[in-house]
Amino acid sequence: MADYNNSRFAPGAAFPENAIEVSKQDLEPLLTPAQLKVRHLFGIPLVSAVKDPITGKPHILTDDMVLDIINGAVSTAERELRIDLFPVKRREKQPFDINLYNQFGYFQLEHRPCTSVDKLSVTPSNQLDVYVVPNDWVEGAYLNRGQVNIIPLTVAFVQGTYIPQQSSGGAAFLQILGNRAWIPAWWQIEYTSGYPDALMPRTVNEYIGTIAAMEILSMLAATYARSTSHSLGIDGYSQSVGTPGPQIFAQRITDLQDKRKRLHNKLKALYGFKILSGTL
Amino acid sequence: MLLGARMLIDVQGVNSFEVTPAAEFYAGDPATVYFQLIDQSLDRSIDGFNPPGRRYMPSPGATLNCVVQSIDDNKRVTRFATQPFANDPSMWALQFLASDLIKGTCNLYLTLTEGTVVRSGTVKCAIKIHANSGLNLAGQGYSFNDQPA
Repeated sequence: MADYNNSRFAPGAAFPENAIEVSKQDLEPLLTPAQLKVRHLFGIPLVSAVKDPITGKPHILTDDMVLDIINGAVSTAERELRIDLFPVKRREKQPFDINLYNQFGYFQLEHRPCTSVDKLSVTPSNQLDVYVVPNDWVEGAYLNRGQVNIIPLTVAFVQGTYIPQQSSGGAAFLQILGNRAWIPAWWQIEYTSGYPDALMPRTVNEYIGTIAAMEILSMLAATYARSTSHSLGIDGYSQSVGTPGPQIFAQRITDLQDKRKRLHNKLKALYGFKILSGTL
Repeated sequence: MLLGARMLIDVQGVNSFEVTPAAEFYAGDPATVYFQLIDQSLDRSIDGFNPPGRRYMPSPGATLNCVVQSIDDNKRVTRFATQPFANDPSMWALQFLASDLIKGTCNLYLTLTEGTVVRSGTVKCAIKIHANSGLNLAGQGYSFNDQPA
């Protein structure tokens, strides 16, 4: 696990972005099976239409199974949104780029929402640090969107040792870099992405719930596939019944699909990048 | 044998309790979380068992070390669980203190020691600790001066 005693945190919360005070409670732990049923599957019995041929009883989708589907939906949501929902500590290598370096050591991290930079260093492939940038110089103002800068305008203390600001000799190592235009895998950044403590915004839980509900309805609908109509005739009397069959939840699934798309775009806009440009 | 646990609420005794997918309480509240050890490889959901898993009663003198997982070392809770009912050793209780910093959605990792036999188990998203305010700032609980308040 990770030690955050010397980390540089974002100035405010991951959600609402950079908030430091709120009047409304909008964070909650991961969706529970009960919440999923209330929010997305109200009135739909989680029971298969086909009975077990041996016991004669219908299969029940238990809370345990629903929880497993929710956990699967979390993984799907993370892949679709390309953000981390549960906290993940990462180690990322970035090249030295003189153009970015001249813009106060601009770094764009790969994973968002980023909540802390735990270590920024120059570390070769043998994993022995050549130089560790003092955390006092690491600017985390735009961490939520994955941007990190080095701003060595203040004095820094590292293990009790005074390191002067950029105008003095303490940052000479960084200044030497001005002679090179580009060096691959020069920087190593350790950081943490995902919502702290896996406390999700309600919107994210809605998204996870939508994915899980679609999966559940799809599974249940398959058990209605046996027939779409039946008829019964006795002498001169007859009765026919038509049912939607496997299309029974089609309208609800379509509604959820629309909601999923809307939420996807909103969340992607909040933390993702649709356009990325670089200097190479 | 695949060690696991089912979370319990409203525990009055060995015959009086309810099963829940996750134990829930608010951060900062002292709480006791009850759970029952099970063998997850038996009596599975697909075979029609609800709740799934067969109760597992460890041998006398067994100890159960619990880790309530957080990515942050300072928030992670590592503590021994106790057996609240002598006549049902499958039931265990885990105490949370008001001073515990942990919150959010947490996995529960179990290490059951029965003599020389040590078994590990995991319960995913077993404990959900709600934030007691609308905010959850990364780094809360630290003292150095550049943390958010």
